[in-house]
Amino acid sequence: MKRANIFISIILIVFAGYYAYLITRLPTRKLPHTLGGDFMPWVLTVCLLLLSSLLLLKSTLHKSEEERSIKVSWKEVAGTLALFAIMVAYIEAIIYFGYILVTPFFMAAMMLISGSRRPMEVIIFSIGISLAVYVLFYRFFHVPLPVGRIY
Amino acid sequence: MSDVALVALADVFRLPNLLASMMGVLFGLFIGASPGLTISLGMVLLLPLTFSIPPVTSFCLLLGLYAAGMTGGSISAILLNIPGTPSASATAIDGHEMAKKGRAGQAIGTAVISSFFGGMFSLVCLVLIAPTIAKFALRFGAPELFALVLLGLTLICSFGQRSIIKGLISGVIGLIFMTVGLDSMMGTPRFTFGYVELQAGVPFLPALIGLFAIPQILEGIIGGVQVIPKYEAKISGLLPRFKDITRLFKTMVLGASVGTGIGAIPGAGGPIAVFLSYDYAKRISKNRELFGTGLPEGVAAPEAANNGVAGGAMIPMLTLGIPGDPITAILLGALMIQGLTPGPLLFQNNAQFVYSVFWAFLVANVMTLFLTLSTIKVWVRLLQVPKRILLPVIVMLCIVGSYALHNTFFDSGIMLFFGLLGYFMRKFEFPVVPMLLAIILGPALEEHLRMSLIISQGDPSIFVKHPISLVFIIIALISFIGPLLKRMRAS
Repeated sequence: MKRANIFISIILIVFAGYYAYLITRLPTRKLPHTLGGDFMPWVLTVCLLLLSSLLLLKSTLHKSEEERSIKVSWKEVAGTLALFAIMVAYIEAIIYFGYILVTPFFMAAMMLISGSRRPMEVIIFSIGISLAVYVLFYRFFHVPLPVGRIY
Repeated sequence: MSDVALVALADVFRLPNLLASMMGVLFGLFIGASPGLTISLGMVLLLPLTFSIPPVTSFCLLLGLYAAGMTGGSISAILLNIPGTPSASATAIDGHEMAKKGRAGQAIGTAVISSFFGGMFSLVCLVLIAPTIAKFALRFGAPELFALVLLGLTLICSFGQRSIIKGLISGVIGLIFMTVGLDSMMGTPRFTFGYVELQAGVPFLPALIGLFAIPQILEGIIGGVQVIPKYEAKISGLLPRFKDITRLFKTMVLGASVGTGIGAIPGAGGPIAVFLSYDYAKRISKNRELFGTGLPEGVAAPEAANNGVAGGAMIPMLTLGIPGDPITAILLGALMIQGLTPGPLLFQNNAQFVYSVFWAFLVANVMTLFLTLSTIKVWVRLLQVPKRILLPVIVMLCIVGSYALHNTFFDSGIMLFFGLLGYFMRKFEFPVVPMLLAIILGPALEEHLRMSLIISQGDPSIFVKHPISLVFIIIALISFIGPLLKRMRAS
């Protein structure tokens, strides 16, 4: 945890620096006797810098609570990023093929990743649920569902 | 009863609204009874459905989910010793012991009746107290509103349970996200990176879905799907006898009072209320040594408390626009989606809607009572719905739901960004609730601050010259410094 906190606080300090750089590029136009649009961002930058430095100091100097190890394995991070890649791919595919054509495949992929091993279960639920959501959202609540360039 | 209240009553009793309440209750019971799925998650999944329906219908749906979710959490707590929601944790202590002794029906019956009592008690408090607070709050100008929002944000400290610093960092980053978009005073773009979609600011609904739903799903899929044990025994004797109800009356009043009181304090939340009420019930009981061995009082107190929290938390939400817990923060978002501004003006400009919320909460509690008792066998079976089916459905709903807000995949991208952020925040033990509060309250904080300084021509003493604002600032300082001092003393 100690190393993780040090790592995070350094990232936050760098982020605060980048945010400060962005603030300097904001337009300076403001009304007389009042604060400009850059006031709040500056306050927040100072707060973030102070808090991240405090976390860094605490993690470096303090011993007691930092003994716990944080459970972040590379396998887990890779799994998370892979799942995100599938979600991004789903969104990209919907843009071209539309909700109806893509969703059953996405559902099937997610079910397989989540541990479904029976082919019939995967087929029935991926198609059935996609259609049920279509009916509930589009037909019943009139909430628009993504339409692709093809369908 | 005023005409407005009667019109609101008639509105809530229209068929579409009753159906929405019923759907909300059924979904809430499912979410509540399913270990690993929280009421907040259920709320964010339903939010996209509420864009296209009238505000009253959407609140019937969401309040049904809120009330039933609280009750549903007790089912798995009692039968399997796995609380469906954090607010049902204390119910498991005596409830599961009762189930082990073959009195599962009595335990669930007691939980449902007590939940109903807690919900109704908190509703009465809401109806009696909220209009008075709102009337008083109408005197608030920009300095008072700034101080009030500041007070709401200092509650961040109470959410940073493990580390106050991490809670504050989470809140500050949430506020930084809220500086994105057009400057509300000058109309100049800030941090939009050329994206037109960001000119209206970071869309908060996709951010909510990402922060709350995605990390839970990822943990479910990557961390291994939790295997829920089967409950085989028969459930009978659900309806408690009148004699039992009268015997539990004192405990229920105690639980409901504690729940409503704690709920009305922004930041305290359900889990604190249930354990506190369990403890108080134990103290006043003649059979205190039997607590933990399967005593109905041990079920009645926390269940009355967790549903009491629901009504209590709505008091600051509706009257001041300050959410009492994460669930009311999402409800606040639902109000904003509908173009309604929470706070004292809501009572003045949308009185009929406010009364509709009261009635909808009443209907939600009554429906929860009857639907839970009549369909308990269904919920026991649904406890076994495999997560390998449920989790993919939720992922798909998150993506499609975030698209539905503005019919753009930009929002789905924002949702995924916040999902990834929320996942790593959880991993590194940064609480997400302060970020949620900051996202909801951030724009108001900046707007009222700048408005106040325009009024005072740049003089910051305006915040201490106004007595109400001064009081809020003092309370904010106390609630900010108090936990810090407590931590320092403890360490």
